[in-house]
Amino acid sequence: MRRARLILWIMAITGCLTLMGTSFTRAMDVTVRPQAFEIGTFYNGTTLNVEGRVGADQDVVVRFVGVPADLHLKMKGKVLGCLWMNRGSVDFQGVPNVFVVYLPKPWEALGPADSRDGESIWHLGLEGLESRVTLEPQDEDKHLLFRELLKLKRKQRLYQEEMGSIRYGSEDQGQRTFQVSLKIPARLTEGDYHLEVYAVSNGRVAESASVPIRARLVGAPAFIKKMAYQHALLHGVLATLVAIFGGLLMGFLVGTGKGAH
Amino acid sequence: MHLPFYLYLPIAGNSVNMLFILGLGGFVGLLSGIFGVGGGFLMTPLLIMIGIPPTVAAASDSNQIVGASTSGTIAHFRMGNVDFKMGFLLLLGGVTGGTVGVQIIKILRHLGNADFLISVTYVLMLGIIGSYMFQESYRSLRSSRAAQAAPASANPARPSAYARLVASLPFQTEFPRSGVRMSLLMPLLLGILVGILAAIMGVGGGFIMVPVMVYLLRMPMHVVVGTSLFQILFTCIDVTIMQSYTNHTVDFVLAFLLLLGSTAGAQVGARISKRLKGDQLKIILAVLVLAVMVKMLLGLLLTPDVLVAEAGGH
Repeated sequence: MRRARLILWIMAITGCLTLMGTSFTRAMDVTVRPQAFEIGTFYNGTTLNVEGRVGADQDVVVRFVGVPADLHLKMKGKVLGCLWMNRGSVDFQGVPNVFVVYLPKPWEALGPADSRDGESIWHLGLEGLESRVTLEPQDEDKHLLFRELLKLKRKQRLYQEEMGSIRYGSEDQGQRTFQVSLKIPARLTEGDYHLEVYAVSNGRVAESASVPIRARLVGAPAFIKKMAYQHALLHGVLATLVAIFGGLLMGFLVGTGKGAH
Repeated sequence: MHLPFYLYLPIAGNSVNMLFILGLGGFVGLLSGIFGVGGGFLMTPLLIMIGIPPTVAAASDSNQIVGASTSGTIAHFRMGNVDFKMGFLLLLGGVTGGTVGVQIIKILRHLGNADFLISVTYVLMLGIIGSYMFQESYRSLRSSRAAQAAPASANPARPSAYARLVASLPFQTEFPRSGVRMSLLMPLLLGILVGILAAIMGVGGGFIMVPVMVYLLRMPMHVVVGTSLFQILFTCIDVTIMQSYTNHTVDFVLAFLLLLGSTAGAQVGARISKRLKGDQLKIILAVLVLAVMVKMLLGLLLTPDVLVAEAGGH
């Protein structure tokens, strides 16, 4: 009797979890290599190889996204009707430091753009980020400032939308393989990131997967950063001494005997 | 063999092409050696353009100026172009003025119109200094040609009101290296003035200090360059240590790469400086000052590409 009740409980919990699961997208089978990379002395960006399978009628959108954080920016405006200069500042909340999206074809070709509900693919792109970002002070024009934020991040190559880099394999039993080599920007700091893969169909997300990616500082960059933050005064004195000795050395090498009168 | 030309900068959080950074340092160091200016007005915007965060660009630039000005000061010292006595007095005034200037900026920011005043002061100062230097050195070049053609007048001109004022101040002393005699108060007070302006404008002050030495302290141009570099060296040591300690924005690796280029450039610049006449140096510096002024003015008048920006920088 007790065992039957236990089995019923397990079945009930499993059922609830299954029902809860259907309110989200289904999980996909995706392979990402590597899932951690090192930022060493000669780091200049890296590549993540992503492979998996989706339905033959589905497309794939791949994102590399940083953890949302606060961002303090200066705001430019006109003074006296003709001079552009800093006029106060704004604080954005929920801004990922990096946001790279790879898609197989333009958003319009992936489905109708009119639907903007929770599972619409519209939320996957840079434009969709606006709904998740908040602005302080709230009386500023959020839409205008968000457009400017996108321009700034695009200029820094931290926000990108790359088209046509996803390759599909041949169809087999109603499914097809996909492969993408996602380029990680050189302008990256140590921390946790996510590689997200979305199977989309008719403008909506059908399945998704998220793989945590860890970027770790190693070697000389790790040593220098640690010293700069944990022994700041020593770092400043050392930086000064190296500069002075560098100047003296170069003065000796380049100027000996020739610069005198 | 594949050579890794890219180097990751841990504080800037970006990787840079080493050859580009060496070249950039060399170019700015050359200007520093020729004119005795720190070069921050040029280096910082260029570093921001290649993806270095503004705060890191400004602080690391100060660090590399320590190296470049050490090299430049030694090169000029060898040529007898550094007036240490004058340099110390200007430095003392500059540090005092800088401290006062930081407090003024705090008050201006509190009043809410600091950026407007800073930008307008910058453009006006550069415009006035550049135009005056250009006119004066152009006139001087022309008159030196005329003087070569005609004999000198038997009756020397009466000293100007400024010269009489300088002569009437107490604590008169000789500055043998500069070949001038004046009150100790002059370099001290002018140092304070430049320090205040430099702090308000957020720059090292070389652009203001050099014309002050030439026109108000009446120092020979070659001694001005060497003495200015000597003073900049100490200002930038202070900035490097303070920025590293309080903001953690000094990128050691970036500064080292820049200084390798800039110290070599400063040595070459010092030799070029020695070959040019004082008036020629002044007129080229005047053109440079006016070019920076025009660039700043355009920056104020033209609509920016992006209406938001990261904080920091000159």
